[in-house]
Amino acid sequence: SGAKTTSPIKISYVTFVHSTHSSALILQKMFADAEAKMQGRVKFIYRGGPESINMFAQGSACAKGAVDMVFTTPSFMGKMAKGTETLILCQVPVAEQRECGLYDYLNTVYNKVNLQFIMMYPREMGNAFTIMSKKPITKLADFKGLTGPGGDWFDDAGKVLGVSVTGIKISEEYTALERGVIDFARLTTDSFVEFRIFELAKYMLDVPYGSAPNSLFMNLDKWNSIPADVQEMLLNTLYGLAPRVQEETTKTVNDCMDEMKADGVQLTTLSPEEKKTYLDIMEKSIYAYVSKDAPEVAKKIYDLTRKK
Amino acid sequence: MAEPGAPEYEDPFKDNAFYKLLDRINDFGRDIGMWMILLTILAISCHVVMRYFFHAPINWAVDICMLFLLYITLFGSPWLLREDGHVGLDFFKDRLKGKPRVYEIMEIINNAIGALLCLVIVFFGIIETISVIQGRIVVDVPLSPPKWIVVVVIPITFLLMFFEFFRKVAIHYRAVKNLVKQK
Amino acid sequence: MEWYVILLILFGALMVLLCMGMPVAYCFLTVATVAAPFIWNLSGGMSLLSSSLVDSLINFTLLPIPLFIFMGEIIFHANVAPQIIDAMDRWIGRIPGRLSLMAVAAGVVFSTLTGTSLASTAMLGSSLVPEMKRKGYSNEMSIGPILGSGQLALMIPPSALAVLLGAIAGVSIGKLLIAIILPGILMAVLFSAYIIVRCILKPGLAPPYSVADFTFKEKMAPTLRYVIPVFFIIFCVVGVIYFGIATPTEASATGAMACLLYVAYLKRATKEVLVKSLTATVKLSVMVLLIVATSSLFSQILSYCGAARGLTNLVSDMNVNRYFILIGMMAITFLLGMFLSAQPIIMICIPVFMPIVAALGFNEIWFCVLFLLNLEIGTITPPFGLALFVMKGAAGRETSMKEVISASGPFIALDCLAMAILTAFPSTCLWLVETMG
Ligand code: NA
Ligand code: NA
Repeated sequence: SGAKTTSPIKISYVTFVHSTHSSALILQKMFADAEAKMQGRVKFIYRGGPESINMFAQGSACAKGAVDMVFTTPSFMGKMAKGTETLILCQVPVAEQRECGLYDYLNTVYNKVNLQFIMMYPREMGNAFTIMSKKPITKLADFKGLTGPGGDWFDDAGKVLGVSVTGIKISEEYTALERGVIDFARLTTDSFVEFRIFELAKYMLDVPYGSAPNSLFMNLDKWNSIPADVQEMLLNTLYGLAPRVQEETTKTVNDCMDEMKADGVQLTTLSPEEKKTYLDIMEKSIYAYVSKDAPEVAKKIYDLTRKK
Repeated sequence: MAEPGAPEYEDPFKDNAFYKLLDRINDFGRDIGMWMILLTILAISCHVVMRYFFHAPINWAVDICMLFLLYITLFGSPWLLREDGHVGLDFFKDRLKGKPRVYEIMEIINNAIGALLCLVIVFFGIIETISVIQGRIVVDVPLSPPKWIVVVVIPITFLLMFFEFFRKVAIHYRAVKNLVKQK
Repeated sequence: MEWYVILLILFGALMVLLCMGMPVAYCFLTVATVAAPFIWNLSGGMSLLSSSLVDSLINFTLLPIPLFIFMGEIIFHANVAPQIIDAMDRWIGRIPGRLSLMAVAAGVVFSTLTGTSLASTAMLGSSLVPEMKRKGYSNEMSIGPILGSGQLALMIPPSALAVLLGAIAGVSIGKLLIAIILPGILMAVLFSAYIIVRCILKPGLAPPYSVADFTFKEKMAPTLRYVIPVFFIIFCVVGVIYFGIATPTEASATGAMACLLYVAYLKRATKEVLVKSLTATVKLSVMVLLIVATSSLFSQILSYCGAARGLTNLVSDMNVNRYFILIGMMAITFLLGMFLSAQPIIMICIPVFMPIVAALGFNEIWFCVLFLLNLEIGTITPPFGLALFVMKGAAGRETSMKEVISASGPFIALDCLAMAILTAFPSTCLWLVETMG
């Protein structure tokens, strides 16, 4: 194109989390660092959270070019790219995802719906989610008779564990937990703090599982309009920053843990055998759920993202 | 249709077969909403009772009732438009009542904008419906129903609203003509 | 384009359409449809119009709106409200403006439902206003108190909006929910005091009607038949939440169910009553929900293009006494409240305001309470006040929008007074937090 090389390529983006959520803040910082490293070739413009584009509409808005880039989860994209929710089971750190072939494979899937997969949110893999409950859980039998939030893959796991699951909107999770409609919440460590769940549920089951599948996606036409050298520079910069960003997110998670512990939250765990059974139940339920629409895609992503 | 104190309006389409059919369709839209509200009360109450007493919540009922909210609103809108039930700020418009011709012309402009708006929404609503069918997009609720079953309601109901706005334009156009004749 | 130019164009276009007398929902939709291709792009923007309308309506937390409206309508169409009022009259006797006070009390009770003030406004508007009019009450004393007390929904827990505010502001939700209780009660007291004083000064506003002397038995009989079952309804709304049987949203369904059972118990659940109340429910719900959906589109446009953020950023550049900055933040919230609903305002303002609040050394919980109170005012300020629209729909054709708006005036002033009291005496909200925490 005839554009001057000196004027930066502008990339507008929105996030599915609100603008003060820790991951939105870390992303903004990451982009600021990336801009500096790329010497003004690219400029990121943050357009806000779900108040700017409805949370569930962000995926399709990006595919249709209303916004250049979105930070969202494959779970909130109306199953545009079926099977990609398998990223919940990813074990490979972000920094290695280009080498292991995940980046290229995901783009064969996402390019079909006019999206370019850019990068997963840099965060330690395999320990994103856990359970916080009002009563301590020290053995699997403690789950029996509890009510928990469902509406996704946990419906299956709940059946095996003897939990009855009910749909709870995140805006009502606090009140539902407070008044005992549900007995535990099931979120990431930072979300427990974000939604102040630890004020009510004082026991955390220290058997984390799964990875947060939240990722950056760009409109494919926008991506193709970027010169190849800048594309390469952008990817190298972002993936180059990933290990450092991951340290930051780990620190944020640790800070959240400290805050909760200071508030009287206690960690509980299961016996080694039960731990294995529990993680097995979770992984099987997740895989069954994420693979039902597109088994081949799920299988491929699962295989590509095993720990070496 | 006539407001108290307002000039007597005559529906130019009152013997028109198409508009008679339209009236029945719009009444049906309202009836759908009435049934859905009743069903929602029953379903959610059952859900709560089953969860509390039998540990067996009816989770899909919640998803269905969420879709109902959309159906109630959109299917009821053309009917409400016909009944003049959508609220607006009336105080500036009411000041014009002393000048009936200006008032009627204002009504024509308002309803013409409404009609045009509806046509635009119908057009892009059809495009969106086709797009969600082709992409096999689902609604992001646990039940994951196909998205077209909710998106398709937009072009349908806005087309019905277009006809209602059109009727209002015709009514007020006739009123202006009568006012001119009286002079 | 500068943010304030866009802001002026969007607000200006909306104002012009509103003043032309177009229905509110279509005003929002027109502005959004014209702006979307410019703010986003043609295909993406137009696709967002449809998908956003759909996504904002498929929202479980909107459920209390139609269901609470139904509760009000069936109580009205079964003609029970006059008897409930008569039964209570036999006990309360001659307090001036007692129907208005009753409205405030009922508002407090029903505000124990979610943070949606519309629901309780709709319920009381359709059940109480007709009876108040029949007894010769002026708009100021019938519509006003209901608009005022309906707002308490946000201030008395559970309040979904307070939870959202706490989450985004990063303050303790538990403490915030305790902190809003006393201000909520303060507002109820201010409203009641105002009603009594106004009615003593100007009895014509709420004509005192004579109540004969009744024996204890004559007092008790209608109470048992009409008033005691009302406690069952209240239990089905408030009790189920308190005992962990249902979430606040689900409680609106159990409450509606209880109203159905109550009317059936009085042998008035005829087909005619059901059809009439359901028709009225559809009418009011469609109107409100369509406005909710279309205004959400408008606020997304306002946020995406940066106009709203530009406005909120104004205060961070100010270099004056911290109380001026506080007033600036409250003024911006008030201004946005005239055009947007509460949830987008939280997401637009709080990320900008909270760091300022911390830097200025204000108590964050206290600020959140002030902010929440300000959001409530937004539900009854013209031109965009959802509670105003609900009330207009509930009160019917005989009441003009102008009358509804002027009835809300004194209660907006009382809310501002409550904000002033809270600012002068922060302990009004913080005392209970410190005692219980
Ligand atoms: Na409340
Ligand atoms: Na307002």
